[in-house]
Amino acid sequence: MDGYLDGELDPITSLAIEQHLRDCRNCDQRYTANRTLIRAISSAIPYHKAPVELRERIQSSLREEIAERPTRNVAPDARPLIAKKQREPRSVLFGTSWNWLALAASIVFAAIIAWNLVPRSQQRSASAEQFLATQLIASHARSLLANHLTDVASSDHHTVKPWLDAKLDFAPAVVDLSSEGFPLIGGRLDYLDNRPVAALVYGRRKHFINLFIWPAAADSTRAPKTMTRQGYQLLHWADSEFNYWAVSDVNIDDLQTFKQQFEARTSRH
Amino acid sequence: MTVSKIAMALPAKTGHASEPEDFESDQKIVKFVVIKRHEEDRARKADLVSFEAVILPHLDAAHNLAKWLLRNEQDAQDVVQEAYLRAFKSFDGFHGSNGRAWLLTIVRNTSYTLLKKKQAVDLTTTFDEQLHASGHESVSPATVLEQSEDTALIKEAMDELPAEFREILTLRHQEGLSYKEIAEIAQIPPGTVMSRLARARGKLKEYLATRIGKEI
Repeated sequence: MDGYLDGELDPITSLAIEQHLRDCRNCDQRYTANRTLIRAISSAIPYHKAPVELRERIQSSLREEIAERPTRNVAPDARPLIAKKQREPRSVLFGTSWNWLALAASIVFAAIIAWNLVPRSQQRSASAEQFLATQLIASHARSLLANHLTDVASSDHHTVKPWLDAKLDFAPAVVDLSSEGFPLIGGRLDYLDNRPVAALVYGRRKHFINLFIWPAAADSTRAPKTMTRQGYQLLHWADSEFNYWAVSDVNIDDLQTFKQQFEARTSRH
Repeated sequence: MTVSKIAMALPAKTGHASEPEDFESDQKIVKFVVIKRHEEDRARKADLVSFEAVILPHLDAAHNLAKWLLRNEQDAQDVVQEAYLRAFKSFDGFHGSNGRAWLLTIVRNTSYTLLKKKQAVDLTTTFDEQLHASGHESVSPATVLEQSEDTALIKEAMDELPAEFREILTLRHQEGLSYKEIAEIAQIPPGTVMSRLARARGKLKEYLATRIGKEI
């Protein structure tokens, strides 16, 4: 009976049961009652969603894992779940010069790791910003190649936003600005600055604007910034939640207008 | 710290003043090792990105299953964190498309490990398929249904069930997994999934009926 209720029986058996239910009153009543019960169970059992702190804790413990630090930062209230095997110490002390090189390399390696784990804004030197600009332009140019513009093509933000939200672990605002001359063409996933980002694609007359959005680090700079490179205009701003980079070959005034319209529309939400 | 400064800090190999060639080859070796390590680091980070993209969306499902199995929040969170770490370490071996089922298998196994440790305090003893067969149906499902709006009531009843029953009800009714998927996660034959699910539902109804009886 339960297999039939769950739709998990093979077609032949299912058919046989269906026929029996037509003939047998008792069984049919039981069937209906059980079906109601199953629906009740499905809707009534509370679903325990994960608290936000858990997600953050997991993400930071994964990052520690790849950094291979010998001693882990354990949160005060965490308890060791299962006794971990003692990690073998990085032994570099056997007196041959090769191990001095390994030690030196480890130091540099650790420095590189530390440099990469420090909040991005603190190590945002001019060269890092240039590198990001190169990545942005490359992503923009690549998206203009045939069939690479959008992953979800729709001017309806009710379609684009949930699609992006499902694929990313952050949820940027999505708006259509057709009435301002910047129709929303769709959304796309991209990868910049070592993380997945959202790309909203807008049209402007015959050109395209890629608006790249990803979460801002707590202390990232808010001041808007413009750049021109290789014939493309880049416009950057940030709010308390997200970084925004608009990339296009339209002129910078149009990009500024776009930014104003986008901010005006999203601040209403 | 530039590479040349590191090389200068190294002691000479043989004790006498370092030759220019030694210095250069040391420098090359250090550069090479540094670059290699940096590449490995980038590869690890790329693994992390794809792992998080594929597996992090199932965090709620993982937490829900762990919470029902362990029945307290602290344990559930410890289990989920441990499970994610284990999943990440064995991510290379994951070639399937069903990330949720794969993760839930790990969560389930980690949960049972902890449950066994706490066995002394657990209400239920070792699970016996036959022993936990549900009894007669004295209360009408309709009555139970009316009362089952009360999620606190459901939670109490669920908490009294054996872990295996809580597990299968969660996997079927909350995650909507098929018998086949449940069989893989719970490591039981598909036929057992059907019978265990039937008994779990019956037992839940029984506990609910008992509780409702007490309230009246």
